[in-house]
Amino acid sequence: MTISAVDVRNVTVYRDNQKLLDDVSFKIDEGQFYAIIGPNGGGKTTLLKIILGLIKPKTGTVRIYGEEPEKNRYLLGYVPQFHTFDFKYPITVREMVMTGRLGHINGLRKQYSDSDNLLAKEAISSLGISHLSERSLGDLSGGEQQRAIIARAIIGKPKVLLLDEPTVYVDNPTEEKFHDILLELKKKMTIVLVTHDIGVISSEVDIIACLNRKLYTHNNNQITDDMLLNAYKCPVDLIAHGLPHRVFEEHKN
Amino acid sequence: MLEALGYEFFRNAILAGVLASVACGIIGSFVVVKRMVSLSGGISHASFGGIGLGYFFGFDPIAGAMLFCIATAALIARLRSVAHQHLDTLVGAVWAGGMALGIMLIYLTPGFAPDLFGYLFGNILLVPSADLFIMALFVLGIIIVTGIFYNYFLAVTFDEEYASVMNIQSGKIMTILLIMTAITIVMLIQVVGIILVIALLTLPAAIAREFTGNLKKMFYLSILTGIFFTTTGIFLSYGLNVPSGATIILLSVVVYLIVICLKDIGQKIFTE
Repeated sequence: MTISAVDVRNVTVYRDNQKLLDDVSFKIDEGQFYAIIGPNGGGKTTLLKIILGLIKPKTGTVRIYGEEPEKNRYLLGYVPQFHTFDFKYPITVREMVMTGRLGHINGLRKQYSDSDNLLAKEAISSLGISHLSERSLGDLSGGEQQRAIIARAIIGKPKVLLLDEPTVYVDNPTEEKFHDILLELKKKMTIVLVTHDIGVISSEVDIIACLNRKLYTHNNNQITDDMLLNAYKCPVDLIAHGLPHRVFEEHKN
Repeated sequence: MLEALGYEFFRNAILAGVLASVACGIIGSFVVVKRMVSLSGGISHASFGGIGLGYFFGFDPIAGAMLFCIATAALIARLRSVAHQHLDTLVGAVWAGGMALGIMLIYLTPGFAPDLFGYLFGNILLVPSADLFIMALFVLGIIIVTGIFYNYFLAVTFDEEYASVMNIQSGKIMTILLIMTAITIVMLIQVVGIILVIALLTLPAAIAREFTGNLKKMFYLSILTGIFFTTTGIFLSYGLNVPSGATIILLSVVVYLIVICLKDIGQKIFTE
């Protein structure tokens, strides 16, 4: 049996006596594109932080390629939610992307080597923003910032890429391009994408799960009424692709 | 006015201004980009508790302030991660708590009440040569630590969470940064006093930020700006016979306001 890229078992997380995740279990195999949808506040970001080992679950276990997250963190790339950090920070795109190498560098000073510089060039150009590499992050458009943040996530050559609400960075017109980026990345690594926006889910997704404290999935790429009903606690309109989900009073197919 | 340079106290004042500017150019840049301005205000006011301790137990009040500020910074860094309190609330508690402790201890100290005015508003013209030597050592320490851990500081102040993902112990790095902030603050207390520290710590860096998008350049620019403010301020206060700390700060505030106004006007012209 092959080792799962990500293996989450019976994970329960509390914050201030409030249950954020309730007995969540799932496995992601290498090369899969795993999408998790759910309402805001449903625990999506918490779940990613559990995988990254930034939060410890109260009960349950998390394994990245069979090891604790802290040990195998270097196999993960992470694209955090928009506005989790300060875009006005005086940092160039290249400097910011380079920080994605720090987890791979030993030595007290964590000095970048020539190969780190080369990897930065490679990552930046693979996202088509080479011309912006010496620009300040704050001067970029939302879509360009998104690419820069993805470059930081992939410069460490991760086996698994975690994306948190990636489409919030951009307005709708650039979403098409974002899909192309995802498809390119999918050839090289396992992808875990969490979003509240059902419109993001495309046919390339291998497995879809719905998360609202509990995780519901049929281990395939179908979203079924019962998954949505469980996750959103109300019928959700599936026709509204490309738009934020609409909730109707009654929805029967 | 240049004849003033013949006096040792005056040369000491200029030198103290330069040393303080180097420290606040580096640390102030972090304070500005990481938005720790109110936190620094809290630490500087809490230092009054250390001054009180010094008087009460009979040791150098500035040494007391140094120890107390470092302890406060370490405490805040710790509480930030474990107590899940809003940073604002913690800052409010140490700000008022430190001041109250200082007032209480100085009241309880037998004998004449010391001149507290000097600590609240500082007097750069009274920095003794021995203190200059200690200041120089601290500045050297700050330069060395920043040089060694630059990549850590950059990563943690930009995105603490991602730094943790990169296996950097963000909490420890923040503690080191806060302790260096505390050291810088106590050095600045001698220059401009507790109440005005925050301006000299943040304004040169804020001005530098308007002209560069690179953290290292921001260090250099704010050091130069700080040296300009302290030196000009000392000469002005000497010439006009007015308090030095207040002169330095008023000069900084005026220049800061001019810079942001000019930048605003410049942008409007540029966009039209």
